[in-house]
Amino acid sequence: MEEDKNPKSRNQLKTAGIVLACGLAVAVAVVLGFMLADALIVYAYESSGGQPMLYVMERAEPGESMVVPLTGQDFADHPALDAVIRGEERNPSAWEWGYRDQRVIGGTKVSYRESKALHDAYGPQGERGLYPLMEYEGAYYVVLTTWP
Amino acid sequence: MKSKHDRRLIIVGVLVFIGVVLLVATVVLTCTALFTWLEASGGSPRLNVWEIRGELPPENASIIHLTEKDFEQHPALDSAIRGDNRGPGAWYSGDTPYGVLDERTIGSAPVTYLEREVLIESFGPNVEARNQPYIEYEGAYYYFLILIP
Repeated sequence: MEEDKNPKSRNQLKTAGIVLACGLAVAVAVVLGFMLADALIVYAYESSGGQPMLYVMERAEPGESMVVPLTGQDFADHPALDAVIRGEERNPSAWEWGYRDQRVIGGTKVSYRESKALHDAYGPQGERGLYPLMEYEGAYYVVLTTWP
Repeated sequence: MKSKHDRRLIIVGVLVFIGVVLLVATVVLTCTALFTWLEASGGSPRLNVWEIRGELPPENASIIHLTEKDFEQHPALDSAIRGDNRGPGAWYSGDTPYGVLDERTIGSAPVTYLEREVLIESFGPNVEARNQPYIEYEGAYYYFLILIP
């Protein structure tokens, strides 16, 4: 009631409200924009007819990368990862090709949606865009996804 | 009178809110889509495969025998060696990683930078020793190079 009597205070309140509403609107919009863009990009790639692939590379040494253990939940959530690391898609190359400290463990065809989920979960992270190393039974793996 | 004025203010506020949301969302959407498109249209590396004939690989040479699983896991190699991108050229005597030999182009296919890394890790060359293996499939020997744009 007192605010009604004081136009200055009421105006301040209104300004604060408008600023807050605009801030909220921008935040909502940015999230919405990214979600829509993701959906649009996945849709565009899906209609392009290309074949996304999942590859898993093994590293001999962890180096300075962040090490994250792979759990049963990871394999349950991503059957393609399970097949490549410990299933029928395991097809390791020799250490000597390329660089000696890494080799390809295997690869498989995945859908764009699966590929995106794998990229979000195991792809480059942080400002430096480093791939986390996934540790499983004493070996270190890097999960790579390619979009043609 | 006052409540009518307030209601109008609320309606205008909601409309402005929706307007700002739509505007910013459109800008973010356009920018993201544009950057992705620009990234994708920057040109991609190309896998080129040659077949060699003549001398069989020396006894101590490294030979990789391609399997069905290899072709399945490396679609670009599959398409260049025995798929849509196969188009053998004429034989000629040329420089190969193994010396001067009879060779011919077999096919080429676009690959991503990650696929390039995966192909090199799988089928050579050995980056440190600069040793290139012989890639064998159905009795024929191949080698490949991946050219970056």
